[in-house]
Amino acid sequence: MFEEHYEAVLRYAWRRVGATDASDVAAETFRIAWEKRSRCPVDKPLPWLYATARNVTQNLRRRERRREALPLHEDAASETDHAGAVVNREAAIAALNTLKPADRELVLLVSWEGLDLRQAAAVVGITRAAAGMRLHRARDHLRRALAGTPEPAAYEERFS
Amino acid sequence: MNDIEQIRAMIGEHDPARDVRATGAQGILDEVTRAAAPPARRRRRRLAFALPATAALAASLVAVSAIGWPSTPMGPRPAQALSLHRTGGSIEVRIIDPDADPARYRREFAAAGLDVDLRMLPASPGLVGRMASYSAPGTRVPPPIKVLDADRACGDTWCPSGVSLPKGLRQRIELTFGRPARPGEGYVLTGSAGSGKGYSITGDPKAPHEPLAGLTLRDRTVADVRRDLAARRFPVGRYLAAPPEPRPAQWSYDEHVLKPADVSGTWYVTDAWLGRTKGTVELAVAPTKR
Repeated sequence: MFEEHYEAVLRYAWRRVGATDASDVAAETFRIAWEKRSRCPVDKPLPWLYATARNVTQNLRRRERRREALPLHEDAASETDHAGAVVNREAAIAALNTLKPADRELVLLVSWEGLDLRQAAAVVGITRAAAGMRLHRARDHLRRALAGTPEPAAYEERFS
Repeated sequence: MNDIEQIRAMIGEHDPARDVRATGAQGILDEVTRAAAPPARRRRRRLAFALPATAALAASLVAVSAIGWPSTPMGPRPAQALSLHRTGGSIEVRIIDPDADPARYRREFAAAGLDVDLRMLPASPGLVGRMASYSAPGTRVPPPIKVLDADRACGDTWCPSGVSLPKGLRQRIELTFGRPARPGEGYVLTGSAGSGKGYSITGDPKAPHEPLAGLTLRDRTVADVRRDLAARRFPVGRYLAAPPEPRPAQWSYDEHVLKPADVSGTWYVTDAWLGRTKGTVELAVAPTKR
């Protein structure tokens, strides 16, 4: 039952703690999920698994006294990358890192994890109304933060 | 478009894990499920990954959003405009006087042997003295600098108090910090690095030092909140209808702007944001408490 969701949980961790620790977080998540499998919803386990992965991630950060910012994934550099796309992602992650951690988590859950509002609210443990409100706020904030970042074309024009 | 769709449109394609594939998952899961009662030692275990062909060359420009600080010091000007604190191999940069003459900043950076261009742009009170962005022109490599975390809550924004630069850094660094807005001036920062786009730096209205600091807005009647806002001479820019309950999956406040005359004082405030116009606030309201 878990196997089909392993990759999704691995990606969840990868986005939040980077490549180096992602597999540890995923393995720990499934260890806990196995121990508590009686509480795991059988039909749609993914939001529950994400909530577990979230706890594992937060424990890792606390233990290592890490800041709750998203990693920039410098470890996965590739020559095939188009510079413009990379700069775009850096700008997007920088903008995401300007959000409050709790708001950022909701934003990632609805965008990169693709959850709907109800599922995302459940992962974070708040009401749907509160999640909607926070996402509204986060949307405005992201829009401003991204508008303040240079266009990739301008960047390349200027520096390369 | 609703909020979620707009968020997806903005950042969806930048997923750093989009191309991540797991191989060997079954082995990991077998191990996890076999160890029925593991004396749970955390084990370093590596999976084989298909590395995404994406990800990071480095950005030469990182924008972080601004933050708050006690409002402008009253009384005599501090002796220094900057705090340049030397620790080990680095220099921590903070702003002491967010309203100083820019020439003073330049002199103090130069005296410390740093090539730093500091821009001070008008920010809402809670973000004065906090860093809004930094950039390293002329390079694709991230500069070896560290953002100093906020030392206090700034509401919904992340508020770095400054940066730490390695001693002897020869690279040019551009820093943007918030300064008090002058009378009649909006809280607008022009975009970083000459993008030509402006973005406003405004804090969470309820955060310390912001106009509505300490004021409870949620779950109070519109009449009560109006009275408190009037006392602070802080008008309501827009009233927005809170979504009905049960909340629909999609709700765009921008599509539910209410006429002030249609909002009864007996309604309740469900949330509040700083208005797009300086010195205003936007209230989400509903006829019943949420």
